[in-house]
Amino acid sequence: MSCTTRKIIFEVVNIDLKVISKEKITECLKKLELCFNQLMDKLTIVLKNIKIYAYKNTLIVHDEYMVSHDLENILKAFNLNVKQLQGVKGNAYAINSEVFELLNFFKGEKIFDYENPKNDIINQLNFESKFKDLQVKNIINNIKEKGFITVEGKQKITEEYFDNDLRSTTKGEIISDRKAIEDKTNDFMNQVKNEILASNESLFHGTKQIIVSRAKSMGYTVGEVKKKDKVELVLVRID
Amino acid sequence: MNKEKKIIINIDKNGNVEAETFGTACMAEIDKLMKDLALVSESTKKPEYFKTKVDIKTTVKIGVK
Repeated sequence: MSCTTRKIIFEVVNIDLKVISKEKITECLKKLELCFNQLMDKLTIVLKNIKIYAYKNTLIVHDEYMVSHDLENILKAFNLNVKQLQGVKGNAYAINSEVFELLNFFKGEKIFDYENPKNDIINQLNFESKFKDLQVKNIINNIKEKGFITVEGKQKITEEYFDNDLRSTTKGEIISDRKAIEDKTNDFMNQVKNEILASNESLFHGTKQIIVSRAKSMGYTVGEVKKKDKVELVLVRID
Repeated sequence: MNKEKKIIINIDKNGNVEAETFGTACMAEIDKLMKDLALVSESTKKPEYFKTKVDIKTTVKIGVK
């Protein structure tokens, strides 16, 4: 008596995904570096004569003799996460930014070249990075190096036998995390794009705050009028 | 008699800054306010300057240094 049997196998297959291009990552890195350099250029202006340390992606600025006028407000205007540190002479702040985090995320190496602060300062640092997803980091690193990421998938293979003789093989659809990985990467890249835009806007606000703080320290009263696509500062002083 | 110094500064989204002085405010004040922020600086004297010698319009560009 003859018989037909069907054998179903799930085979593990590797899929090379090009979720985003290598060029797009390079372009993103360049934009982030530009944001970082512009921000640091502006910060250098207000951090003159101030001690600067760094720990991971956090800058620690110590204005021991309180030489920088209105430092906290200026830092906040640059959309930086600012935390006042305790137990130090003068004013000290820990400052962190999404741009710092992202630049470190993309470069995979430290972004600051300042010495570490003392342990009692390090113990006060508790900024949580929004960008610490290891899967996304792995995707970015793979695309940077190879131009693609390899993911595992399962493919259903149906073999039909007639009296133990293989008659046909049918390969089914590959089931993988492809869609989830693509969505996750696209979401991440959109977040990066938004952070770059926000960083450009924060340069405007920070610069404005530097002028406002300087004007106040020079004895001017400052009024601010928001116009269509600009801000007008009215500085008045009676001598 | 008290003298009023007035400076109007316009900042647009592209980082362009335009400053105008009135009364006894002078260029030195604008220099102090813009120190290290300006990339390009030029100043034009409004016609009134030649009559009163007090109004100066200064345009500086800030942004990418």
